[in-house]
Amino acid sequence: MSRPACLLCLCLAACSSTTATPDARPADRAASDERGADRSSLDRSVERARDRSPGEPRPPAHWKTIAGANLSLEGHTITLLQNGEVLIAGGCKDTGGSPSYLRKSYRYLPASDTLVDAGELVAPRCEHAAVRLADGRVLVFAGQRESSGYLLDTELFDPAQPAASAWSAGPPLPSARTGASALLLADGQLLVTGGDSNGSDALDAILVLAPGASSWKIPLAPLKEKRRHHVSTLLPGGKVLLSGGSRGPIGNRVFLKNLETYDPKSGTSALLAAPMSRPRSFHSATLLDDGRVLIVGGYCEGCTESLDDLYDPKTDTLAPLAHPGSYPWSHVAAKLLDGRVLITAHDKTSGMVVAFNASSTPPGWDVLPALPHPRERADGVTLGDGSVLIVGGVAQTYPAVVYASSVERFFP
Amino acid sequence: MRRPSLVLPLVLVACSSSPSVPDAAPADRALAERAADRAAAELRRDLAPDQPRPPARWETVPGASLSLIDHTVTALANGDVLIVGGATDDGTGTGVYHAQKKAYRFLADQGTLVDAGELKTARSRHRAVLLADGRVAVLGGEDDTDYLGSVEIYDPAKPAAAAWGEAAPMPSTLVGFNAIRLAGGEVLVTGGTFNGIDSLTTVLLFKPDGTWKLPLGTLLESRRHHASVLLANGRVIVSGGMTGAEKMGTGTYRSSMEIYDPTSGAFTPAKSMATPRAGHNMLLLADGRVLIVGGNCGFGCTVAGHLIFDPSSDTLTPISHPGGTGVVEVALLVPGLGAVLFAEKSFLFASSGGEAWAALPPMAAPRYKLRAALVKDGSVLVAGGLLEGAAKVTHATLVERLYP
Repeated sequence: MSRPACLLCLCLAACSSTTATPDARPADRAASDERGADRSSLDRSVERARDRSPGEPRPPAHWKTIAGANLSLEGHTITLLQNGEVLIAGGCKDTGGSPSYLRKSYRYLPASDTLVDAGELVAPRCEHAAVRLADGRVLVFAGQRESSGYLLDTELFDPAQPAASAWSAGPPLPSARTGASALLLADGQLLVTGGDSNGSDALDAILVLAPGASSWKIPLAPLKEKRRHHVSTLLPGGKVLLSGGSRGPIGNRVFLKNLETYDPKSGTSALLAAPMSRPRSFHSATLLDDGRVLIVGGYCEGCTESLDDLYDPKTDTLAPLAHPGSYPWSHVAAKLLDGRVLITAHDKTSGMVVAFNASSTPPGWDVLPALPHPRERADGVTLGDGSVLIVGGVAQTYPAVVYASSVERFFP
Repeated sequence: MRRPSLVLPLVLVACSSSPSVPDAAPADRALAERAADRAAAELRRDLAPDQPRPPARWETVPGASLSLIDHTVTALANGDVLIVGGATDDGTGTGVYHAQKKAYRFLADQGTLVDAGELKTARSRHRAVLLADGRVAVLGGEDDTDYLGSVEIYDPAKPAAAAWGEAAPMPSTLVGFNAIRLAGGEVLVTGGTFNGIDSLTTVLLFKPDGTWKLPLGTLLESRRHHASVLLANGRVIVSGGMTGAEKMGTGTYRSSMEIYDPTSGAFTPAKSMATPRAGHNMLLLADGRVLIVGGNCGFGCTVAGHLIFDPSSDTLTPISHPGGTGVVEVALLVPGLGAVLFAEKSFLFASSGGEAWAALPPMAAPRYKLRAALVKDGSVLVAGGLLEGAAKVTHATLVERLYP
């Protein structure tokens, strides 16, 4: 097996905690964006109405550190639940140069602004993916729990159960993997694309899990490109945009700058003629309200370009964008209720946070208040009230790893 | 540094032709009126033929004494003038300066200079911009050790002790940048440097709500010590500037110009000047054209005179200039006089096609590195700077007013 032997190596090779981040986030987004009738959408409209009530001055945008919350981790997942709470699951933590794999999970309760125990995973898991399913449960899959070997087993979190019995085994994957991208389609099916089974090459496989099903389906047509550490984004017409990633042996990766659209109805995919402005993996690709997709940051070895891209599905074209501040290969991308996309920095010093604002005149990046405890490789999610929760990440890498253990919430 | 022995303000009696912009839409014309300020309208009246102009004169503001360079002097909406920060010589005459915190307000009705509170951070080489709501934003600059990214806001409606507050800092520390208010109320910040050597292509917008935004466009060339002016059509023209070290003649000086579109947030190239220049000045004339004056272009290089840029035809026309070139500290459109320049070099009277340069009478304390702004009554308040012809660095402490 040619995979790096330890987590620290993975970190240096820029494929550690955000492995899980791009995988999990589009799915979360799909889950919250596409299921119009669920409770979180309802909560949002209520919040929006409250925000607009006259005579109540709106406080300026600010960050708030969650009192008493202290989480030192990376490679975890963060998932918005149907009731507006947030599930934080697994991850790993550097302990003097070698990783310890984490089994704990937590629920963040926005109403009381507290972090509570959500039970233990069936087994420790890091750099995995987590997707909220149509029935409200969360499927956790892929990743690893020791320095060699990716995971075949999956597990399910049931938010209706008490913490002690919330976690149970889920349908096992057809083959072990990590670095796959997953999202929930409009019909409730879970779509998993690409990934890596053993470090020798990326996969072109597609997996589908139907609602309530106990086993995975494998559509016959593969992707046009083998991809791991890519991002999948659900487009308004129902197609899925797959962007970037890498293929080849993990120790000698080829980073991808192409895009591919997958049509779940026909089960076929097509490569786009226009490439992105740079290869990227571990990036973000966020659907804007106008149907375009904002593709930001990401990692590629030896890249010098520091541009983002705007993909327009109407014309199948890409437009490069300059990125403000230091280039964010790892970052949190979170859609705000007003349509802007919050992007954090890959930055242990400034904590610069910006929001891409496509609808303003001129379009551009709003500079938001800086993250109080700057970090790399954090994960985050937009809550029902439009605030953004940031969890985990690394505040210092040398000479020893120091985690940014505070949990931060941004109120736009 | 050697300074010329004679420095006098000079005036361009310009704009005697029709003030309207030939192909401008009515909205653009309205914008032109605003941009050129009420001064422009008065200028047109005052320049009517056959109307003899009384000679301009200087008066000293009684009791006022300021020892400042690299400060800002900003006209407030009510016609008062705000003087902020700057640096004061340490008294040894060796050119060591210390950044200052104090602010002063010239009360137009009383004709006196009073305390206007203190900045939180002492600073010089900052920029000050009058905001649409009447407050003044003070941006960047440097204190005695560092470049600054902080932003302080002066509220003229509050008493001096409570007048200053902070806004969100710029995304970078900056000196040598330009900052001008756009028609929509945002302040456009272009270029500058955060290390004193490499100039930036950075473009920032300071929004009326006190936060920052980065439009998608950047300058096409990195610049500092460039010049910017708001055109009648709401766009902004940026010219010249430089990058690299300023000493030893290693800097690269720019001759290009580019235009900012406030709708797209992008820059497009405009005409290039015949020679590069930095430390120059630009001024929107009442007829919509832009005066480009002075500047330097590094060791062994001479800036080739002044120019007029006509945005309606995208043409650059050399115009006669009063002798020397060099840094033009201030360019103001003054009712009753025209375009008044305070430059660091002497000048000669010249005439060209109905437009002419005229000398103004000398100040009581002739100076360079001064700053100036228009007062409510149409006079020009001049504060700070260093005395011309002094054997060692000597502040020009008198505050003087030019009556047109």
